[in-house]
Amino acid sequence: MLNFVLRRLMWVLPNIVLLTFLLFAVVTNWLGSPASMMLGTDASPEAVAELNARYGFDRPVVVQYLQWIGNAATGDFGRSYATRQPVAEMIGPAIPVTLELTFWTMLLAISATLVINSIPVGKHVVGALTTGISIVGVTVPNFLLGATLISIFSVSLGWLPTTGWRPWSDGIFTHLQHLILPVLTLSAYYFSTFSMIYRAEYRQVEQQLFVRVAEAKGISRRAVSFLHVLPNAILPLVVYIGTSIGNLVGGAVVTETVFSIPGLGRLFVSAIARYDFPVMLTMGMITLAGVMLMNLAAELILALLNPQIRL
Amino acid sequence: MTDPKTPPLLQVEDLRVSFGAGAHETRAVDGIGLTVERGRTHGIVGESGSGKSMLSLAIMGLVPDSGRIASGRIRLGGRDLAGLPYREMQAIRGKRIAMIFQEPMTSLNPLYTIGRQLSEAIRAHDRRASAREIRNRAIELLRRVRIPSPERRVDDYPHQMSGGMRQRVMIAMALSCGPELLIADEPTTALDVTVQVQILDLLRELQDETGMAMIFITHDLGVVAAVADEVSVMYAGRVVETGTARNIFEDAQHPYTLGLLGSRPRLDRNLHRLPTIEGAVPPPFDLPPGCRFEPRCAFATPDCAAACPGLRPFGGNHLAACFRAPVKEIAR
Amino acid sequence: MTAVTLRRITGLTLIAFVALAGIFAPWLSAFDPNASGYDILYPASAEHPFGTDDLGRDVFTRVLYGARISLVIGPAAALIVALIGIPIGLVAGYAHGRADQMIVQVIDLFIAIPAFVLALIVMAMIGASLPNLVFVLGLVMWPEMARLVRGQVKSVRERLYIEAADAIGCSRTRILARHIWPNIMHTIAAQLAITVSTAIFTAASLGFLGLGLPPPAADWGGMVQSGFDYLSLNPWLSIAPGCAVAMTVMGFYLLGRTID
Repeated sequence: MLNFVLRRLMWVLPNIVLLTFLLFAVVTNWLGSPASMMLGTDASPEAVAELNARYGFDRPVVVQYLQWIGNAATGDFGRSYATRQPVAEMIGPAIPVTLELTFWTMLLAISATLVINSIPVGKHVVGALTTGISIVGVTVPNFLLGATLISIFSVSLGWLPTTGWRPWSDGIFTHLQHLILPVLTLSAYYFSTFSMIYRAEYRQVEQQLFVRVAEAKGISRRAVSFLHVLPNAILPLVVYIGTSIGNLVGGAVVTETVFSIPGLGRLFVSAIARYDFPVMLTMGMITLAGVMLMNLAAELILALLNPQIRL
Repeated sequence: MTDPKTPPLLQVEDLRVSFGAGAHETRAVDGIGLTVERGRTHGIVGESGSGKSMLSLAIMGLVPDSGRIASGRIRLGGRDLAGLPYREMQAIRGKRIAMIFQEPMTSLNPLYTIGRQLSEAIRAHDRRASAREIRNRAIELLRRVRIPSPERRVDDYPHQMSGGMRQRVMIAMALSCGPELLIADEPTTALDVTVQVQILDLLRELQDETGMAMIFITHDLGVVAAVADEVSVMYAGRVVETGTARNIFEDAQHPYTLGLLGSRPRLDRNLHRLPTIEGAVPPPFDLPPGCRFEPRCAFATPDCAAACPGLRPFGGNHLAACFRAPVKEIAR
Repeated sequence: MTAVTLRRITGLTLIAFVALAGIFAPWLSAFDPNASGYDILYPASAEHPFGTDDLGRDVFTRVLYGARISLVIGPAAALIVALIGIPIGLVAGYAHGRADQMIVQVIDLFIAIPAFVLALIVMAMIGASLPNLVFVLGLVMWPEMARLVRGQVKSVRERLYIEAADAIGCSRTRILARHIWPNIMHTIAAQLAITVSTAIFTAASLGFLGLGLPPPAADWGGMVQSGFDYLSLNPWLSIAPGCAVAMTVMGFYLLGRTID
């Protein structure tokens, strides 16, 4: 077990370093520079040089990268150019918001995937319907779904608040009320992709000989589905779900913008809009590391579930 | 041989398994009859595509959802199983009829230990047994199929075992509830030759111990010669010749059977090339109008293309479906 | 009719509908998409089917002209993906051992990068314009194509007759061209359709977040965003261009999804 974790870490950590370095280099040097981004392309060379010197952008990329990582290890991600606040202080409060949004979304998407795709096994109508819903779910952008839900449930019917986020301290009911539409919007996409992967996998496992063998033992159809097909069909989903959770920022960015939710995604977008370089960089780094670490975690879970992978 | 009053263990009559409907209907099994006596082994021989696997699935009540038993009877000790719903067949599958399959590498669920998969088979028909009792029975079953140190192997996962070992586990699973009939669908095809012999020996020994009947499906006449008492030769969804093993091997009447016998590798003849039957089994959606073997048959006449021959007796229970039979004289 | 045929026909119909709307935009609407001469935020009416936006431009006209932009962005991005992804995939699929492993590791590394986040950052760095947008979309989407092509080549190669062709002594390019390419062409074409759909989806999302084409371009994503503040006044401002995105994305997606 420990051996397996170490082996995977030996593989993932260098990749994280490599990718974050690439990102760092791309953002700071290769595609323009923070200085030109802040000052605009028609800034005088003197102004650019002055700014570069002030923030240390004139040093070699490797030095800048190592310094950034060193500071980040102590919780110092620099200061926002726009608000002068430490980046850590801006990101800190946004993390639990996005985490909670992701938690409810994943809970809804995963349970809906399993429930809806398990009950109607072999029933053609429900199967075709789920496929249709999945196709709509992956092709309708979140902003359209969000706008439609707001128009119907908030504007026309007035049942739910349009946008915004209320902390738990405002009361559980208010808090959850503000969560309903964002969670629905975001989980529609995930439900659809999870469903597609799961259904394809389920159909493939169903063809396997061991399923025939299980039927030949004289056990019920339900036992065959739940004990033999489902556990094998769900394994590939684990990794996909892990990566999706890791990509909190990228996944929630549109939905958080639609519903004005003060999470990581909206912070990221506003940083981009204001050319707030340190915040942007930090978010990019967090996302890369998050995706790769969650991928690793998912692989671990997979290894625990699948005896064929030796620990 | 048997008391005429007691019905044979298994009697399949005029069985048809269809896929699709209307103009697209195809018959994988088309009017098959088959009798299996208690304690005997009935070999079914045919190339791939002859419908032999679908026949065994039909007997198990496991025809895929896209197909159905269109007509015919499958009597087990007198009771008709054809068309019984999945739920009612559940009590029979695994308990009275068990089955082993061709690919031991994929016939076990990779996520569970073999002990757990054996236990599932036992518990399916004995809900009162305690966990400890079931485990002991599982170990005992592994011992019966000659798996060394079964106390340890019972906790192994399938991927930790070789193909031959897994096929032994499959046999143990099939034996778990003492079936009256074991259907073995190409049980040795995917195995190495030495392992094949071991598995065949094991099946014969177990049959002697338990007195169960066997349907042994294969494309390999050598294997049939080693295990079968009666033999049916299948071609394109039909039985073309049936009889005792002696009938088939020494007095074959149907050109197809003769072709199969001719294409067996033999050590006593020094041939440069093995004789083969030209062509392949026609798929069920593209059958010739007359005798199904006619396009590949060396003895065919225009009559053969016009109508489909039925089974005719050639002494005792020896039947063959050929207008030209006996063809031996013609061949000489 | 099979499900795949049904999907293909639906997909083609949607694409044709959007394409015709784009091509015949000047005939379908009397207005100039960028002229702001009308009352602002005029509600939906016979004259302005979706109303006018906050600058007094006819939204229906802008949605029509938006089709032109989307139908350029999607295929152009897919072309870049094809130009990078297919050769890399072919080489990886045909290479043996270490060379293959190295390419695979590079592909896996790039696949691990969350495409949308990368697109946001790079777009912010290089600034919004049509060529930049197409470049970024190609940049973030090629690894998926390379992986697919590699897998396809590998599986076709496994089949015996390629081994036979190898043994006879055909040149590698000949084997690729004669034996492998015809077998994987259809899968790649389907994947290209999916790529077009993803590109249009991503471009619209970028536009919605303010990183699409600079104004006054009739960029669907940007239109959805600018209409968002007036959702209670006239939902069509956002929903009409949003539906246009969904239709186009779905059209190409259905065309490309050849498996169940």
